[in-house]
Amino acid sequence: MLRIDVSTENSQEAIISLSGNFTGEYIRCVEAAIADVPQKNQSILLNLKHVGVVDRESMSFLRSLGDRDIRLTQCPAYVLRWMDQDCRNCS
Amino acid sequence: MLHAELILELSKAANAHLDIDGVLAALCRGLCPEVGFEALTVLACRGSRIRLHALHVSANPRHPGESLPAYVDRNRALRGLPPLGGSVIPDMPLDWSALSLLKGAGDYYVCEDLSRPARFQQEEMLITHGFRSYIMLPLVKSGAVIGAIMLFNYTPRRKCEGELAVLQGACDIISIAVANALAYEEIAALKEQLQNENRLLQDEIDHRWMFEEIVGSSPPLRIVLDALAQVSPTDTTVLITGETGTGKELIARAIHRRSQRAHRAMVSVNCASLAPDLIASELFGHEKGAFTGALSRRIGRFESAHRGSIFLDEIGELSPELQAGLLRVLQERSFERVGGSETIETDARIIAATNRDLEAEVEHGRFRRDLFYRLNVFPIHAPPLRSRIEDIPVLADYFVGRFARRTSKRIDRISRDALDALMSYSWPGNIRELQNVLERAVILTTGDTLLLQALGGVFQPRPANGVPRPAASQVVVADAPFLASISPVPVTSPTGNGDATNSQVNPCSDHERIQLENALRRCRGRVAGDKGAAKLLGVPPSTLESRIRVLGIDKRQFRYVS
Repeated sequence: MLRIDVSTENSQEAIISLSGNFTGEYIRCVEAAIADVPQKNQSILLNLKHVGVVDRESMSFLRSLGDRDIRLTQCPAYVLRWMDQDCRNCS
Repeated sequence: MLHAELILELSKAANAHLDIDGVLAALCRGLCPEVGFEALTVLACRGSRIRLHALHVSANPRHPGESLPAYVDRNRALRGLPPLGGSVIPDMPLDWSALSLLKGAGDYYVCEDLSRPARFQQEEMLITHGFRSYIMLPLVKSGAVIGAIMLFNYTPRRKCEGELAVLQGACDIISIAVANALAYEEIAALKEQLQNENRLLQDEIDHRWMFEEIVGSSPPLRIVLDALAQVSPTDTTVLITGETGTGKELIARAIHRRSQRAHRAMVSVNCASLAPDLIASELFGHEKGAFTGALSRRIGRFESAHRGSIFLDEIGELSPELQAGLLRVLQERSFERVGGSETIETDARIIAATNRDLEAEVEHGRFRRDLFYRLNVFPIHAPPLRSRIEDIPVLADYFVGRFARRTSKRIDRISRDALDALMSYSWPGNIRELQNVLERAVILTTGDTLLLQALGGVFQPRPANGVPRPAASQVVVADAPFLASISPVPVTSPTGNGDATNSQVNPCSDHERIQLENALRRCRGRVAGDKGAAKLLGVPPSTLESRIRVLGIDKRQFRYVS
């Protein structure tokens, strides 16, 4: 189960908060939430504070967000290490 | 398109989808060119009430995972209407709608202009969504009306016999497709419920294997067992308190197993282990689309525990909002799924547990007083292991036997010094810590006897120079003022200063009893002699015998063979 909450109260930054387990089936929902953020001057921050399990598909998706100027915050340490390792393996 | 071709195409399109949203989208694509309309809804009957089940606006399809209220708001925004704020669309009595006039296949109702005086109360609500006209057809399954399909326009429309003939011809196909989609939803929900129950039963099997029974016979444990026997057959709410690792869940399972609900599941929820935003969904379930990411309906733990028991562990960690929700369940025995409007009744027996002092939490305003009193109907305190050290031999035997079987080893005995060490430790992690220590020790044991060396560093004997071992502050004797005062070897006092100069006997008989029993246990009930408790304590044997008599200690109980 994954819950996605979007806060656009700050005009400069939209915060998308995820709670629960982020598995591949939810990527399209997160994509839709990102797409719904108004583009004018708003940067996007993905808050992963309450995320438990992240599967490979979602890890790859999170890694790809860097190319789209979407920042991750409070990302679980194992996911950061996994992304780093994945990045090194790919390069 | 010819009528027969249209029917065939509609049939193919509608039956290509199992979910109701897919069916509506397919119907929209097939019917729109023949019957001009802009939105399509399905109403479902439940007894004498109807509710909006699905909506499809052809120019603005629903996003994956989007809730129905959010979708309604998005369409309102496109028409310049204020949002409803995600509020739930209520169900309504059947006679508020034109469906009350439709009795079977072939019937229909056309409202050409909603701006004219409303004939049904539902029409007043439809105007607020910007609709101006609609056609309603009943959905019929096995001769019974199970709901209706409504085709909307944002402009007035004229009744057109040609369009109605098409719709009447297509109505059977639509009914079958929608009924199938509704049945599929129900099957999916039941499948999820079965998977959920299966998972919970698997958990239960694991736990039964973990804790076949409560082990021990010490007075503090007997108090718990007596209380447990009294409360189990009732439906009373139980609050189990106690330190971490004292077996609160084991007590809860024992209550459930001895209750009349034993044939149903006991559902466990650890309130501390769930993300704060998900606890409500976990407890009460959620409807599909209740929040972004809610891809399907989910049954909550309270619903799963209907006619069984629900064990709410770490109840002291619940947020104030959830405390209010739980209070309502306790008071009214009903709740709504997150994002749902249907009130669900539950007959789950509540067993809560916490390692916090809930009364102190109430005093500090962190826990609702009314909830505390609702939970604290029958409190049971799980004693810490240090207050029931006489249970350690039988517990150790139980765990060693279990872990030996699991690792296919044969371990017949626990050495005396290993047992002494286990009984001299204060066990801050209680039975869970004992279990972990013994699991590791069984792995390290190669012969048929579990030796002291296998227990690990904390349990190793002191060096010959008498310097306390590194973990001495965790040893029971170190917490004992009486023994600390007369022990011939320096031990760490509760404050850790190692003061051993006071030679007076501590008047506190409880402490004295614990210390004397510890010493007798270590000496297997022997008082005098080189291996006697008197020498260990550094007091004359006659003095010790006198104290044993005064305190009524039966020293024979310590003559066990390890």
